[in-house]
Amino acid sequence: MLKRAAITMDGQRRWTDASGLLRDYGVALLVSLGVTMTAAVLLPYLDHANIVMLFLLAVIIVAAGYGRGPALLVAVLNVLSFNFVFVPPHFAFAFDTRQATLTFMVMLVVGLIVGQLTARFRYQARIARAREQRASHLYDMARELSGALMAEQVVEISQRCIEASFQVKASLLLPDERSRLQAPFLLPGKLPVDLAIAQRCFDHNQPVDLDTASGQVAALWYVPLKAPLRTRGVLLVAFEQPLPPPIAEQRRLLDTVAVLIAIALERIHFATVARDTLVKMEAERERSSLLAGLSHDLRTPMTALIGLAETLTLRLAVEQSPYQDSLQAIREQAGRMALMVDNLLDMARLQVGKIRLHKDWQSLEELVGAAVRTLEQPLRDHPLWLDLDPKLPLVNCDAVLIERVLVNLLQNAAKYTPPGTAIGITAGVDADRLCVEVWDEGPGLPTGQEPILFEKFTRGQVASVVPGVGLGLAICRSIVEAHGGTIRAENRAAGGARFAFALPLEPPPPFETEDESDSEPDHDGEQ
Amino acid sequence: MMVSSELSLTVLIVEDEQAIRRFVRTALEDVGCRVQEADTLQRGLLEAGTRKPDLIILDLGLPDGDGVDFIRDLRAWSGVPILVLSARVEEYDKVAALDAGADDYLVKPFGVAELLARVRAVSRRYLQDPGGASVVTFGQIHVDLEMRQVTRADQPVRLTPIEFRLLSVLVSRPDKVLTHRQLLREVWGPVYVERSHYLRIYMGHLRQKLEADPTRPRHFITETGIGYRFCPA
Repeated sequence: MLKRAAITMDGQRRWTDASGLLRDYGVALLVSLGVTMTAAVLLPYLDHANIVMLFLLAVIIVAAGYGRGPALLVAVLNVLSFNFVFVPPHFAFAFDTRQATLTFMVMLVVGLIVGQLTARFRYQARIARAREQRASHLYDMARELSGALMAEQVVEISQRCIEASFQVKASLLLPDERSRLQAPFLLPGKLPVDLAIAQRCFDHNQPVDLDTASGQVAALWYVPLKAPLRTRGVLLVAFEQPLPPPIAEQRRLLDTVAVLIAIALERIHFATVARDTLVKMEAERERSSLLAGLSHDLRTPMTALIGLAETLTLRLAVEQSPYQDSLQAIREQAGRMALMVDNLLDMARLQVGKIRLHKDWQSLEELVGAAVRTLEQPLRDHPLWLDLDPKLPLVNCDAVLIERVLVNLLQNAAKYTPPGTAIGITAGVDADRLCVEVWDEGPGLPTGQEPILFEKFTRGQVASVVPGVGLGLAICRSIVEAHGGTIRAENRAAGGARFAFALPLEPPPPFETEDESDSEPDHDGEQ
Repeated sequence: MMVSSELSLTVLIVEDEQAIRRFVRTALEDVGCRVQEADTLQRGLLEAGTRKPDLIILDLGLPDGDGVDFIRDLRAWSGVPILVLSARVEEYDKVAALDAGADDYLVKPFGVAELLARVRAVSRRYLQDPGGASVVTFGQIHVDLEMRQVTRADQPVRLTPIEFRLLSVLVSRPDKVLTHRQLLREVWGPVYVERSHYLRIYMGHLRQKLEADPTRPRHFITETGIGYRFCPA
């Protein structure tokens, strides 16, 4: 049913405007009759030449008022009546004298030319007026659109302005987030909207003109709203009456209007994006200041507790007090609690909103070294095997967070394996990923539980005697996934557990190497 | 069995939490320090001006202002060592404080042993002749800064000019954290302060040449997210 058709206006125009035309020609007839009678009355006072003038005046008046056709009719009628009434023999047609023939010819030609010129002038004046009106509508529309702050306002303004300047029904179809056009919420009258056609127009960025079968509407145009960056919707224009010519010009005008609307919509889109970003940044700032405050408030009493307990322990040790052990226990429990607070705060930081990564080029060897150093105490009873490929490339990651992953994995290995159990880290490159494994030779993971280990508050052994709240692995997963990597847990064939994570590798940054010929320190030109 | 190595320093604690002030005071007085307290940054600046302490311990999370601004203010007229206490999750405050001129940091919660170790290291650097020794020895490594010679177990070690410059910057400030920016600026120049991968690569080289186990360094310590620290011991 989709048919592209230039609307053939001329044939239809005569049909629909028949009564108007009949009236115009009637008026022409009356004018001709009137001027003949006036001339007849004035005949005794006037010269023949002046009577001809009167007849020409009538042609001009009709041409100016009613256009070319009626003017032509008046010209012909006037020539005939002049000949019939005023040229002797009176009340009979006489074309035999040379004089009469000349008058006849001149009157006819002058009448036709004058009528033609006047009619064209009138037509041009009408077009100019219409153009000016549209231009002023366009200005109004541009001005109003520039003040619009919401898409709804744009819809309302464009609808009103287009309807006023084109005598049509108009509507805007805007897309949702998934680029599906939505039915217009300001649907004028019984506008037959076909969303499928509109969507096609939107997707292909091509206008669709329809001769419609529906009774009320003569034609339907779907015009895409092309903005500089993308199509912002579809303008739907329904002509209740056939469009007066010139069609091409109005088409251009409508296209201009469509661009105006599209730019207004794009502007609003980006204003919205900017506002959302501001709100998000504000929320982010509030969140991190809240967490910083919470962190401060929680750690301050922990610091006092641990510090005072330690001071007291030192004093009691001097006095050989029997309460040393109890105090030592207080000190240890406080330390454990501090670690849990750290984990909870980390989890909160990683879970609320988007994780902000402070990426930089890092050496994995260095991160492993730092993690191992942090865990010197918990790892002291475990032989540690570090097997890192010496040619490992730098990896673009958040150093603090990736060290945290290594610390948590090593800590788990130390916590869930008996003393003396070997623990190791292996790292290598696999295609475009850096693969790191933390393994142990302990009892391994309970079978079937591997995937849920990374959930929050999950711990390997049910009702385990090992303290902890089960956040460590969940934190690891959040961090690795924020880097676009993967993490998994499994049992090794040789016994024990293995936690493996992989981070995507990127092309390394530019690096200027030193000139090796200059490698002796003595040659260095340092001041 | 209390270790009473006399420090006999005047220490100013700028900290709003009374319990922490008390424990730090006790710990420091036990090793022979005189301790003054300030609970706001305003008072801290005033005390620092009038009492001329040998060391300032500053909490970064004071409610009446930004600790980093305090350090900048103080650094305008005083070189007194500053040890920063931080309870923040983020590393930035520490880095900003160190870049502004703080000498070292401690993360809350911390123990007495840690506190005293840092206080000793910071004050030792401060009291030492700032010119520093031209010969530094650590482990099996012997560095002659003047002769630009490095030996490992009496065998000469070849270093590139940049490696040597990095080494000399690190060993000239033992036990002090040097931020990435500070190291990049001093070794490569101000243009390079954003190119931290240079630092990663050259630290790797130094460790390969000077550490017994480069993966578990004992002397060139990584302070993740902050910088590096040279430990001679």
